Amino acid sequence: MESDNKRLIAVGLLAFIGVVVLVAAVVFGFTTLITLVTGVDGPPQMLVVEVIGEEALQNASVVHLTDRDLQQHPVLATAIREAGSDSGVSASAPMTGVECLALTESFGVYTRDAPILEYDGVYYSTRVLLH
Amino acid sequence: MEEGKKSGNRLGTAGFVIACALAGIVAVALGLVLADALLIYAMEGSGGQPMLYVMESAEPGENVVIPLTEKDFADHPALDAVIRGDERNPSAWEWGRSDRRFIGGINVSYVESRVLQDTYGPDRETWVYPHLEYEGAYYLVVTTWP
Repeated sequence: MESDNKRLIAVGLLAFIGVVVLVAAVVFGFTTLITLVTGVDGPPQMLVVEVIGEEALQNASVVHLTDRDLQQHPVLATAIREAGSDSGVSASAPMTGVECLALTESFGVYTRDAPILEYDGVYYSTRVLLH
Repeated sequence: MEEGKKSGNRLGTAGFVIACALAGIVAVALGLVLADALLIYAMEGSGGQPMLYVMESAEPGENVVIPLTEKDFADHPALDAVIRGDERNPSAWEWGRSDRRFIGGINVSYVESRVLQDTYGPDRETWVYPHLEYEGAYYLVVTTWP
């Protein structure tokens, strides 16, 4: 009788641990899948920057970027670093909806008349691609 | 005698069912906690860098207003650094929406990102962001989870 009880407790304990691990695995797998498909901050977008010559500025507004700006907007820093300084070269970097919002409020990247950004004497035009 | 035994058995079965149900609820809750911890652990090791961004709104509109206290700043040093510290880097009002501007941003850990989102993020039902009021200005807190 006592050994039956012990066996029952052991089986119950194992079943309990099994359910915990199963629920954890299901939630983890499901969340990871959703994250992979959509991204946590919504569908991914792409920031594209292109190096432009000074002659292309015309009457466009120019925002002068500081080191702190690039530190606070790592997506912009990545794209600018990849684009380099040769005119006509463009580069892109993926970003989340929140990053796009922050860049738009800071430098108007996702607006009709997006300003030209200048960093270290190089001018960049920007645009946002939606996926 | 027989009747009393039956009733005792029934009581025992009911107790067993309730105990199983409680154990199930605890199991599911523990599973969710474990999954959350696993997810945070996996994200921290992914090399991604979450950011805290703070925007300023000209008017709170219909949104809920939460006054920021010294305790908020003490509990969340990242928020302190962006709103009134070295990471304050306000943009012009002219970009994006004219009644909103960027105030600053700072790197945070995934755990901090989650805590800030839970504390100052949007209402779970309406998805409307509360406005945080400090010295007459209204702020919105958003975090990234790359």
